Amino acid sequence: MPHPPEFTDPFASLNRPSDGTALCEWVQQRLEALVDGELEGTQEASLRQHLASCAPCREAHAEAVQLALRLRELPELACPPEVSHAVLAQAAAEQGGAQAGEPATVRAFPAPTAAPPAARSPAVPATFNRWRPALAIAAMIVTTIGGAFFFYPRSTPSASTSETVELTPQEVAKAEIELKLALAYLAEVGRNAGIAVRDEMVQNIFAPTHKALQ
Amino acid sequence: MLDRFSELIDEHQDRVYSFAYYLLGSKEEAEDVAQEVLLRLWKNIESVKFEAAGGWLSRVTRNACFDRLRQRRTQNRLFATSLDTPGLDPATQATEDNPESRANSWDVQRHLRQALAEIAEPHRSIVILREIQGLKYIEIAELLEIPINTVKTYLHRARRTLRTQLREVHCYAPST
Repeated sequence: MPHPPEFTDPFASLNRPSDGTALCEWVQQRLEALVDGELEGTQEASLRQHLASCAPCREAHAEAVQLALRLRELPELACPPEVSHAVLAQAAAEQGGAQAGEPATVRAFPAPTAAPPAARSPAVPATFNRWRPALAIAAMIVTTIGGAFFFYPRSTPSASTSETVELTPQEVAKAEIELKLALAYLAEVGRNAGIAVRDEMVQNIFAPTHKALQ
Repeated sequence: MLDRFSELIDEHQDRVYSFAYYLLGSKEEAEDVAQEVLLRLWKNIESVKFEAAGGWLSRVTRNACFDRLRQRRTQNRLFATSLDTPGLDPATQATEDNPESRANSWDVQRHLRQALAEIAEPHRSIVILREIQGLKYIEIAELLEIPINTVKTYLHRARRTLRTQLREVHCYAPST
């Protein structure tokens, strides 16, 4: 097995430091370039010759190689498709607008896709909007009570009904608790609805009437 | 025009997103930056040459990320809090068949990303551009508008810092 070549001053023509420690420092400052293959041929050959004879520099070089490999293992990540979709949609919209003679504008992310709510439903009267919460609550009450009426399990099922579901006492008890909770919730909802309706009536009916009578 | 833009997006979106992710360490912010940068490309689609779009995008992405990092500094927020995203799941990223080496590889990658997030600019940008994006020294120098020797110096310092940090955590120095 051949012996490694002896140190023969490979940097004589490269203005390298003459001191041993400084030489190693000088070499190690070029290790990254060596790993990247960015050194000129002469320099690369000289550095490799030094590495063959210097264990600390060889170890540093091996570490540098290892780090470069590890760094290159870091993946290039895939851009989420929604990003390009949003960008392309906006570009298409702007191109369409520009073709129609409209000024092109860049919107902030995420790109809005619709007009503001006020402009979206101009046909809805303002009075409807004021009563909408109360109407929604009323609809919810009707739906909940209707659902409870139809689905509430009866404790004495009729024998003549072929679709009767047999329930255990535990299931019946659980259903009763759920119904009580639903009724309690409805009571709270109803109270809030009542307050809303009362406020509306005071504001829109009683107060104007009172003012007119005065 | 839109076809050309779509083609550019297909070619460069992953690179833009990755660069932003590794610079910012946040998936959400990287998405925001990617969208912002690609929209800026659309605004400048007539002036950016097709073959120069990659460099242009890297420059704009870096500037956009720097703006965000400056905002973070002013808000005195901590950097890199969510580096372990589902997109970087070890099971999908590792290549080794051996579960033990796969776990070890994932562990090294995690520490590497953490160490990368902690090194200062412009060292981090240079490491990402060189190692993850695969740019040459001269390309990095042109992109960052700094001399090529400065790129080499910064890269050397950054790697030395990374080596030191990883050595402390993993003792991965290979046998010689």
